[in-house]
Amino acid sequence: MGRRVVYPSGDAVAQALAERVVALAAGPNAPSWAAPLRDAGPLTTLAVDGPGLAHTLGNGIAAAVILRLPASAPASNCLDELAWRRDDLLVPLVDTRASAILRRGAVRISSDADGSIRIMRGNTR
Amino acid sequence: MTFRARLFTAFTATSVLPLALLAYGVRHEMGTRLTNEYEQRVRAAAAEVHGALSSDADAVSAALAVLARDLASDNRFRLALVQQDEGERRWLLDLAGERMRAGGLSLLRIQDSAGRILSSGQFRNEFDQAAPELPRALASGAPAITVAQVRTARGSLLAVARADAFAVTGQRFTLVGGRILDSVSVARAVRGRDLGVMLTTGNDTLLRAAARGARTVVSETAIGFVAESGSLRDARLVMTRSPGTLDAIRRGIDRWTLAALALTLLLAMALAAALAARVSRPLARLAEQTAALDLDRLDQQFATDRDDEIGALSRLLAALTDRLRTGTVRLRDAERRAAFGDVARQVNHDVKNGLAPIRHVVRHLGEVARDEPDRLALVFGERRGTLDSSVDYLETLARNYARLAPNADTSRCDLNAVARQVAANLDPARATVRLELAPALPTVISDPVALRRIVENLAGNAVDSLAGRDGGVTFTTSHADGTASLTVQDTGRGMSREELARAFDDFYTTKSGGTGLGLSVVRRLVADLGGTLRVETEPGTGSCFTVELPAGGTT
Repeated sequence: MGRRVVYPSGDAVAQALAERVVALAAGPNAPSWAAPLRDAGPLTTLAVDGPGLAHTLGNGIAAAVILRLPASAPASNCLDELAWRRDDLLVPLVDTRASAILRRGAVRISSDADGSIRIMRGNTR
Repeated sequence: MTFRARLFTAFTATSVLPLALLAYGVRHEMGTRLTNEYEQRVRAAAAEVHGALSSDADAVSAALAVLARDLASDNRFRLALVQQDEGERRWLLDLAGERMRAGGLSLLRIQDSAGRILSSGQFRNEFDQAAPELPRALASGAPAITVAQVRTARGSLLAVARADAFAVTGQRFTLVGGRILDSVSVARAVRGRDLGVMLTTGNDTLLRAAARGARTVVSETAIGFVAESGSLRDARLVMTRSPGTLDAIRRGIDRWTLAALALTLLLAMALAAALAARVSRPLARLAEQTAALDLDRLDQQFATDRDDEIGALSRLLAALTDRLRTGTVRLRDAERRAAFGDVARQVNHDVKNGLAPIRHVVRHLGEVARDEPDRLALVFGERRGTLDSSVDYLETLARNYARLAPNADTSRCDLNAVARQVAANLDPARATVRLELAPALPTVISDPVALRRIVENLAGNAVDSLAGRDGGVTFTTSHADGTASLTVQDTGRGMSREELARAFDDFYTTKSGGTGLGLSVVRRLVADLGGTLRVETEPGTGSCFTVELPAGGTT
């Protein structure tokens, strides 16, 4: 049994991200930060309730943890609740914003399937 | 071994051996048939499982064919892929999942010609991943039943997989679909059949759904296996069965066979015992009757109405007994004649002995009367004692011989009363007399005088055996089996073996004044009354005479 990409139970966005990390890590063109995750064997996802999430890094179950962090506060405040090691890698996956200002004639944007904003070519609508 | 035991053994063996052979044959035949039937059922179940897998594969092919036809003419699909319409991208990501669930599949991938995953039903977020190996392996001569190992976000799954292809605007797309093959679904297929299923590549066991203890291989089916890496390998679907089931069937047969055999053995033994008893009982009865035969007891009845060998034997014994009775009568007549001759000779001898002194005295008196007549009175007085003693001797002799005469006048006599009378006449100074008389003693059929003489003789002998020493004489009466008995026991000198051998002979005596006729008379009287006389004696300890007479009823 390999290690797990752990996400909070009930968080659909975190689940999709965890599954995507698993898919990317298994592929031949895995990002540099994702490839090492599969070193211990096949990577799979695991949904964990909030209180248990804090222990998955420390007890070796989790190869990675998908977390939802507020952009307005230092990440370390939240990470301290985990068995966080200072040399662990922190990778931002999705940056979401509460609002976007759009105007006619501006650059066309699109929301990607993973929620990221993509700037499109062509005329605005 | 007794005849009855031999009959029992023979009957038991005759009953049990054929039944045991029959039981063994039935057990063997049932065991063979049940084994064959069980193995046929197992093979049928294995074929059913194999057929279910083939059916799954066909169902997957059919679902993929429908999907390929639909997608080939689906404009939305064309917009999403061929024209790279970003607005249809999310729809495309969910397309495989929706069609997978609608088609009853557990695995569905839509891949382009380069193997890039456009939509994945079992792993939605593996889109854009390059995985050309699986469709390539399935399209390149994989067996009809091929199991593929594919990844999902939560792990790997095994599925009976098939591939199909279609083209849209000149581009080729591949569909990979499958139905899950896991231990639960396989166990459901063999549920209740005590079978195990194992999917193995030789080195690795990919799947195992085994009934407890299922180790015996029933069948092996070669199938294809595509590993997660995409390599096509040979695999085997192995069906196993548990030897425990068949063993349990055989044990059940053995248990019931043994139970039936044990019951049969018990019944056969009971029947054999009954038959042996039925056959041997008449023989045992004949043996008892024959053992009871004696020259003094020839009253056994062997008459029977049986017409078998036992009846023939009974009639032979009856004829033999009749001849014995006749012979006994003749023998007793001969004995009586011999005894009469003996008595006559003895009487002749004794009378001569008694007359000789008288003749001498008479001759002496004659000589005195002739030569010395004046002394005749004196000499007569001197010799008178000799005359008196001789006369007394002759009178005693006559009285004793008179006792030899039988008397056939029989009636019911009270043996206890006779014992009391005789005991009362005994001199208490010579012996201590004890009476142990049974209450409610039945009467005996006897001549009262003869009975009195029997008891008097036995009592007199008992007192004489004490020879003046302290001792006792005990009269005991009892009854059993139609007889009443009297025992006269003394604590006198007893008899040696030689004395006992001659004790009942006429004129044999160990007493200085005895006639030697007492026990002889007793024996004859008892025999005339149809009774028996027994004696137990030991030198220095005493003698015990027992007279058994036919009982005639209560007093």
